[in-house]
Amino acid sequence: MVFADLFFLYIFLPACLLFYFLNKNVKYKNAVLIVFSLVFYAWGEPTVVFLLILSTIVNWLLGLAIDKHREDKMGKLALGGSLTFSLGMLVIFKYMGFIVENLNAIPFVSLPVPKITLPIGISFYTFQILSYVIDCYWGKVKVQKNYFRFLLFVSLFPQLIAGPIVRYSVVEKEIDNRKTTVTDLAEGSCRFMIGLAKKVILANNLWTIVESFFGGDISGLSVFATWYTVIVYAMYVYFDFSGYSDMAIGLGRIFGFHFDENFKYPFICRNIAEFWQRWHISLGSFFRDYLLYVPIGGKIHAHINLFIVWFCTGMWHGASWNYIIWGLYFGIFIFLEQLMGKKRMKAIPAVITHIYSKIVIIVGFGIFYFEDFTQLGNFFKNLVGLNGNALTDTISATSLINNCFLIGVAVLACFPVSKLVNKLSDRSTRTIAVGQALKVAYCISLLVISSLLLVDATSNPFLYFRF
Amino acid sequence: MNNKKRYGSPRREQKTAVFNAVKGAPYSKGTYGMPAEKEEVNINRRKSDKRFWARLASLTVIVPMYIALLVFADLLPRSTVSNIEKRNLATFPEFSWNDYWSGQYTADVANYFDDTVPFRDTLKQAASYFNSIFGIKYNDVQVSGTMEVVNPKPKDGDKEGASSAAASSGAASSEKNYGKSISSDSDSQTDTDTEKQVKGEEIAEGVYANGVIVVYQDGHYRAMSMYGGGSGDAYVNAVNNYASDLPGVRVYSLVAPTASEFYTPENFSDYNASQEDDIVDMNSKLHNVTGINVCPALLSHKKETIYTRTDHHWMSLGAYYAAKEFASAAGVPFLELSQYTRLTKPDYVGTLYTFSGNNADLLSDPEDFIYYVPKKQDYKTEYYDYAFNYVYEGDLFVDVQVTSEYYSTFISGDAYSVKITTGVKNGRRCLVVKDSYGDAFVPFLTGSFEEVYVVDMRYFQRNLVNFVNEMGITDLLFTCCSYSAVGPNADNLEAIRTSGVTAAPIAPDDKTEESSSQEESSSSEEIINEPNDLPAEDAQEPSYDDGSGEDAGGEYYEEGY
Repeated sequence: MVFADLFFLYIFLPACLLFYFLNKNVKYKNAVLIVFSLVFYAWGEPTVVFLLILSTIVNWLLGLAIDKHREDKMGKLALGGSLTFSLGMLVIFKYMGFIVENLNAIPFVSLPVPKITLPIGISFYTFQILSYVIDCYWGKVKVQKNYFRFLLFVSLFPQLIAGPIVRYSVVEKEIDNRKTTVTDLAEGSCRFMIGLAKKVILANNLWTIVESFFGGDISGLSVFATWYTVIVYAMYVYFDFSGYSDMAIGLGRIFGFHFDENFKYPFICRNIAEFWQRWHISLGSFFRDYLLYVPIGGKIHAHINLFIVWFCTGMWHGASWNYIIWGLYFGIFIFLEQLMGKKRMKAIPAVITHIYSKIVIIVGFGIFYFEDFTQLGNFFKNLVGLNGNALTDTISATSLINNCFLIGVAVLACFPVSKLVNKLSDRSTRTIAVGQALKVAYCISLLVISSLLLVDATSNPFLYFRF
Repeated sequence: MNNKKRYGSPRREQKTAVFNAVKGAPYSKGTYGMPAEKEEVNINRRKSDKRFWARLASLTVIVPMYIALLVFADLLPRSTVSNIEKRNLATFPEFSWNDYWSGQYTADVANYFDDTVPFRDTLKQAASYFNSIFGIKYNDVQVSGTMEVVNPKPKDGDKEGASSAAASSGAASSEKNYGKSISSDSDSQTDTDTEKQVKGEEIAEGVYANGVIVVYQDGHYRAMSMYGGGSGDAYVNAVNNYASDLPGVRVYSLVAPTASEFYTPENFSDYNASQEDDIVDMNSKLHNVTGINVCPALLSHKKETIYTRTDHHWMSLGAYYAAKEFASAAGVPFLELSQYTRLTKPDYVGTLYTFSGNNADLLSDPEDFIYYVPKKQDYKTEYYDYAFNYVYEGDLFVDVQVTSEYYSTFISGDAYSVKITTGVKNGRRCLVVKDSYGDAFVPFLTGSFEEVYVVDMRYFQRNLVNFVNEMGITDLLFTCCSYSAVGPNADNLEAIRTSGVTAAPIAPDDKTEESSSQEESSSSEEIINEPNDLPAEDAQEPSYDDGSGEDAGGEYYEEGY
């Protein structure tokens, strides 16, 4: 099931809310959430829901073992077992086909390529489990003795299938002690509606533009068409993914959970390192906390570590070489920025750093889009006009004019406009009321428009389902 | 949902919230709770108080609004039919464990709910109007719906381009354009474009979607599929083979252009290959076959309604001018238009509405469906199945009720093979092997041949050479639109020429029809290199099915041309 779907909005969600708020008992509420979360997951994955359950049982037990044998070898063994299990699941279900395909490239190797469909959300929930087990081993969090609470942490449907990757430490206390305040309810529901609109109004319609130019052979695209489409695509990915995160955070708040932010207006960054502090924060911080600081020692090793992190970041996004290249591409720029040093970076005029970072990011999304290397090569040629194609063409110009308001709104929405509005409305007690009234009217219209567009939509898959 | 409001007593909530905010509780990030002077604390307290009440007030709006939407979406009677899409909406699935484990059941349940939203058609129209404000409209035209890629062709003068016949003919869509391009090199291509835009008189700004553009011309909206071009070798070879297999039979080929040949705005001409060039090229490769080029005849009647504006077919009048050309080539008598009764059906919005991604303007500008019935009805029409088993005797024109399918008025569309016995006594028996463009064409032959047989090039299930001999055919006409001639539809011509004598007669039920059209679409992917060559609906099919469930798209769309 996905959030941006009428069935979710008008059947599943109200049913869940109804049962959830029937009783004040937290145990009851948790039971409701577990049941609805499993139904939510099983709706799209009736079989691999058992994989999810198996994964939670194994890791919960190993978590207990880690806690019990903290001092002796058994603890380390349990940690190793858990890591092997989780990463093994990822390798089997996500990377097996990719690995075999690459092995087959070696002469005399010819293995049958397994056809395994990726269980939805496995990249997200496996990382959540990993964070719990490692934190447990490091003693950062207390072991969860109750299986169902652990299951709730992993399977909680707002963040189950497309993130953010919620750390156990973030929700540890809220699992059995939380309250939905009026603020949570009001802010959470508005947040959800905004996220829904980002997905349905902006992302879906930007996608139709992307598809119309990048959907087939791109060798004939003009320079303008290529830049235009890749910029639209960058915005599409942002609104698709951050919209989902907004919906997850909003739903979480309605249920009394407070997840960390996953996006902080990434396109206003001044350099690539900053971009990754603003883009998919829960993934970046995961690798930072669990991979970057794995002590290997030495200065050169730190650099190697950096590239390992970016290799993994790329790899996490998909079992294809272009994602790995995409990750390493960012790794190179961050490495260069590190070499420059913060002081010298700051000395560069803001205009230049903004232009530099935007170009790197936008070209990066081209790498992210094209899994096929011939297409990717054509993309690079098109960008600089090496294909012998025209600079502009009628179709992309018509497309831009036909969609100028949509694109204008999308560009505007990349900036922290809502922050500014909030600041303005917070000036006095009177403006607070006005601001809130406007916000509610705005959010409700977004919900109505989104629902309307969902009636019209034929299909609207979330991008991050692949991961 | 009700309970959301009831949950906890608001008053207690209020206390916690206010308390939290003042205290700088974990969830209220920001400036509050900073140690400050008393006054500031007071202001902050009043502010957070206000904030709390504002939020509570907003909940009293959000919650009822959501409940209202719930009542609308869940409790009102569900839609069962879509009049816009002309299909029955999804039904609630029957449960089976097989379906459940495959995920099909749950998907169908959700699909049922999404598909049968109350007042679906009205909402869809509202949504498409919303979509139309995404950008500036030229002459009130805008993009709507999903778009399919059609790649710009290499331009003339392009060093790498011009490798395929289609590509070069694509750019040289008119003589005027051709001359211009020759004189200018690739670098000034954009200049030529703008020049054309400024100079051209007939320019209507187009909108590009699904390989379908919607233009505003002469006070009306017109949708057209762009033509990608192609060699038509498979078609030409098959027709030539028929001619050599059937030495005593006069063989004709009439490839009909589609609307884009005549109505594409100049600034889109780079995306639309010249159909006449391809037709002339195909005709030049025919041996012992009379190739008929109807483009000049149609061009001279461009101002008349020879094509529908909202459907991918021609209008009856276009077929009339084409049939006239055929009759003169075949040397048979021909009934002038004055010998027909002109009939109209209002409010016609054809297939291109869907293909253009539900373009709102097209829907708002329906046209009259015009057709011509012979005044002297001295003919008999018999319907046969695809294996030519007799089914029933009926009328040459059928009273179609579904607005979007008015084109099936002629010989019941593509569902049957047809035999027309006329009052003409000239010993000529004509077999028309056609795609759906032939449907409108056939009714103009009742004054020309003694007998007219009509079979569909895509679905006929017997060996066509044997059939011609069996029926004593004197004139064999292959007629289809350019898409069919250069696309996969042509491949079946060779198949039914060489197929093992007579296939076992099969009843013309839906299943055979479906399976044959499925074969067609699956083979199309293998054979056609350039996706552009496919008729728009082939490309459209998947997304159409997405919204409509399993078979809701209906055969009508699958059959295409």
